[in-house]
Amino acid sequence: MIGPGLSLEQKAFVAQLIEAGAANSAQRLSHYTKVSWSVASSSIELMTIAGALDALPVDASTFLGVHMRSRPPQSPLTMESLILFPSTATQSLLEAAARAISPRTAALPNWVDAMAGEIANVIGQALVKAMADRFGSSIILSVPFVSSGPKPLLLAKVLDRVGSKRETIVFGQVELAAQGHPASCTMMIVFELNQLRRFQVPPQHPI
Amino acid sequence: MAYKVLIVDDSPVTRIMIREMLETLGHQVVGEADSGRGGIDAFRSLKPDLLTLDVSLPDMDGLQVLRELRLKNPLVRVVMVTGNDQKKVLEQAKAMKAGFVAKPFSVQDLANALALAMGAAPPHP
Repeated sequence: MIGPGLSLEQKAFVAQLIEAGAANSAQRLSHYTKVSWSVASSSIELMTIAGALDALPVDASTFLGVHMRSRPPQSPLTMESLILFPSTATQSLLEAAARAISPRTAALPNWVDAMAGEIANVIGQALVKAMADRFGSSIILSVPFVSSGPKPLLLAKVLDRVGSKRETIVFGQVELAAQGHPASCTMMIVFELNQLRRFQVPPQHPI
Repeated sequence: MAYKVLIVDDSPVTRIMIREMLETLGHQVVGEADSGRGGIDAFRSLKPDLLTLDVSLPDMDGLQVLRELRLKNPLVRVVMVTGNDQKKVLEQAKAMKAGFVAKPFSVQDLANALALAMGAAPPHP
């Protein structure tokens, strides 16, 4: 067993599913922003909520955070996801994406939030697809909630919904990097441990 | 043939994208709704030929909306337009004879799904 509740095989299986989803997310993000994105890193850890917050590097810069969640009965998993874009570095990409869709998009009130929500929704769906397909279920994500602030603050708001700071969570993190552009994208996915423990790892599990 | 279409999607960006594609194809957008309940009410008052329907909506999911519409209107024509292309969602949409377009998509993808949902042969590009 790893930590208090997932076997090595279960952890490897979930990591593999997240990695497969991350590659799909990078592909969809490339389509929207017309910049090539790739997966820079992908990880999964069992840690306490306090540990997840402490593990974030100190960074006071402002990010656009898009929060989506899934809940039974629409989904088999209780899950929180947070997708982060650095505000300043991402602005030009969001503008390009908005222009590519329609000049009318830029006339929307809060068009930056609307574009961030739209893109995060599409790449978030790509991230969870591999998991849903593998578990033979549908994971229906909520509509996106967009806010801005430093990374730790945005993550703390999301983790507040999960439980107390001592609770153990399964914390997946994916970093996407843009080729030749300063923008980045961090995708965080949080499961309650009990939710994942229920899933059996197939004897052979190629993704 | 031009259809009267109702767009049901929480995202204003997607609503713009679908509206412009539909207008390019010569269809008429008779209304927009940003929630499931709003979509059901708009369907009843506007009586469109077809709905485009998102899966993730703020108050209920798109498949629930479709089930509710089908109770009183078994022949309602729907194209699901969504970023959620999970196998189970596709299967459910197919079982309910709804068309399906996964984001990102082109005008041609939408045209093909509309034609299939309306029971016509898809137009050639």
